[in-house]
Amino acid sequence: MIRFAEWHPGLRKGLRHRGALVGLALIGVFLVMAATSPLVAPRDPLAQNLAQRLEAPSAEYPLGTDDFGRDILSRVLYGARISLRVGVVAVAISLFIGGTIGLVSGFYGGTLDLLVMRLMDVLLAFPAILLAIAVVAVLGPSLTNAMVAVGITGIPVYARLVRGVVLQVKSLEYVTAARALGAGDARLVLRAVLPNCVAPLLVQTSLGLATAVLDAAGLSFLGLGAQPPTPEWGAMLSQGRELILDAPWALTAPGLAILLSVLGFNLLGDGLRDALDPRA
Amino acid sequence: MVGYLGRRIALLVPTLLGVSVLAFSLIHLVPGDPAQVMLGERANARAVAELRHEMGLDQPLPVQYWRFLSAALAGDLGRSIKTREKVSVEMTQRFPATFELAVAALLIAVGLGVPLGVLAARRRGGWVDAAVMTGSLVGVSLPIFWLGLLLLLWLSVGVGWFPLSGRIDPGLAVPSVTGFLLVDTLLAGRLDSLFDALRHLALPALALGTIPLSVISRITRSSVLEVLQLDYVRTAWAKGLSERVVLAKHVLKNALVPILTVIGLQFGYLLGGAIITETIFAWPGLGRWLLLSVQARDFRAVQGGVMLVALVFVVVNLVVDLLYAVIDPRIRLTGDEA
Repeated sequence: MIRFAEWHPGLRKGLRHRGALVGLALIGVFLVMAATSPLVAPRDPLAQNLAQRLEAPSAEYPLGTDDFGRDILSRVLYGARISLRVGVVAVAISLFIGGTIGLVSGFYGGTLDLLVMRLMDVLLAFPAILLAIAVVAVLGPSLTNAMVAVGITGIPVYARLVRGVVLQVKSLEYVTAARALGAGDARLVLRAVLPNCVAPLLVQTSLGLATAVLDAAGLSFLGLGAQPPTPEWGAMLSQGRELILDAPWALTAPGLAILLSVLGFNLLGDGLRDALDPRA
Repeated sequence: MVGYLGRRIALLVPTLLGVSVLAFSLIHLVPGDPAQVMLGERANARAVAELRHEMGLDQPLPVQYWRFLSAALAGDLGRSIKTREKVSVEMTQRFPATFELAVAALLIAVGLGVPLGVLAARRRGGWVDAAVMTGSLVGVSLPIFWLGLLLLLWLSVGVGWFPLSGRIDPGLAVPSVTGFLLVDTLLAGRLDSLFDALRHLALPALALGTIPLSVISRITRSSVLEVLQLDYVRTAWAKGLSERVVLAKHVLKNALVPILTVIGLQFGYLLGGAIITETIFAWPGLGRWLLLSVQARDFRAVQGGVMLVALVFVVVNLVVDLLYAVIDPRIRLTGDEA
């Protein structure tokens, strides 16, 4: 548990970091939005009202309406559910698959390690959004496939990160000693390796959530993710593009929502890195 | 240096082979019969069978891959299902537009990012530093598709300084010689066309350059801060050298390796981001073409585009690695660090 104590004060320090706190607050706001949208949204996000198309913001429609007369405020509120879910699922895919690959590859080494890491190099040879687009091209456009695609692009990042920690930990004296005393693989992984992964993974997960939300919104913007009429922020902006002359307000709220949620995760990740990185 | 170069290039072979396997697999991972998917549900059985035969889909997989690879090495990526044009020709036509856009974005990012980063490091803790750091954090969080739309709304629709879309006003078009419009307008000696092309380029390049600008200014700041603490820099100050000389000649040169790494990585981002930017600004480049090909389920085209982008990205990173060796003799001599 000595290892645990080492990152724990760092975590406390991270939670006093001003940027990290602002990030947490932003994320909190979006979590509340996601949790309460059915209660607080003034209207059904999918309900069309053609008599009130393209209404400018007013008391009745605080953020205006889109070209189907749907309430933009309600759509943005519901959008928080989608974007946060996309981010969490995509990062969970990257973290689980990438983390396992890195753990096994680093722990056992040898030919397996060599082959797996070359494969990760291949994945890294593609710009993330291009790889995601290729995956969606194969699977077909949908929100679920966009989550999978964004998740896959993150795999090599986590694999390399975890592998790096494993290699470092493997060479520590107390690990060699534990092995000499007869500790099995499972025990070494659980007691020595994983606790050391927590701090860097915490930072990477937070930054990864930012990228995932941004990339998934980008895919939806390109028509490769969430499909209309889903109230997804990227998809809303894609529709808003057609309305740039008639209803510029349709562009404001969804874009701001993406910016602030991504900023929240980036601030948190940055703050945690400052606090947890021993070099900082 | 030659040995170093050789080792680095040898390392690329397995990566590029992997890229080719991945691109090849694209078609085969499609659920169902790829020929049927490409032609659509209503295509008749004979057309589907013909396409299967034409694409060699009726051959064993290893044979298919071998044909694919040997053709690709000879520069033949097959024909687009949609236009029946050679994929390599379609890509060659569109590549200059994307390259011009990416380079312009990179110039903006490096030209502003490095000085801003140096300035922030020099005035650490001051308001300039705070502004650069905050700005860069917002910059990396900005969805470029939103930024692009806002730029259009404000600077095109609003004040009318920049055109809405495309590369050049049709009335000012010049004959295509190189495909690089900025070069072609100069070759034609048409300054009015050059100016118009630059006006078309400005907003897309700005939108695309924002994230790299933010990333580059941050890495420059931290890299310069690290070097500023070193003893030899204190010596340089003590010798009474001017701030400009210390920063430009002593600090920046040593801070350059991490900055270059990030610039290389950002180039990959630019190629990916071009897909989004080109869509917003109706920029007739590779990214938009790739997106349209994905939407049309034109897998031959997608395969070609994916391979070309990966190849460019890998080559750019190779160039970056070689630049390290030029800047830092330690890397050149030990070789293994890169």
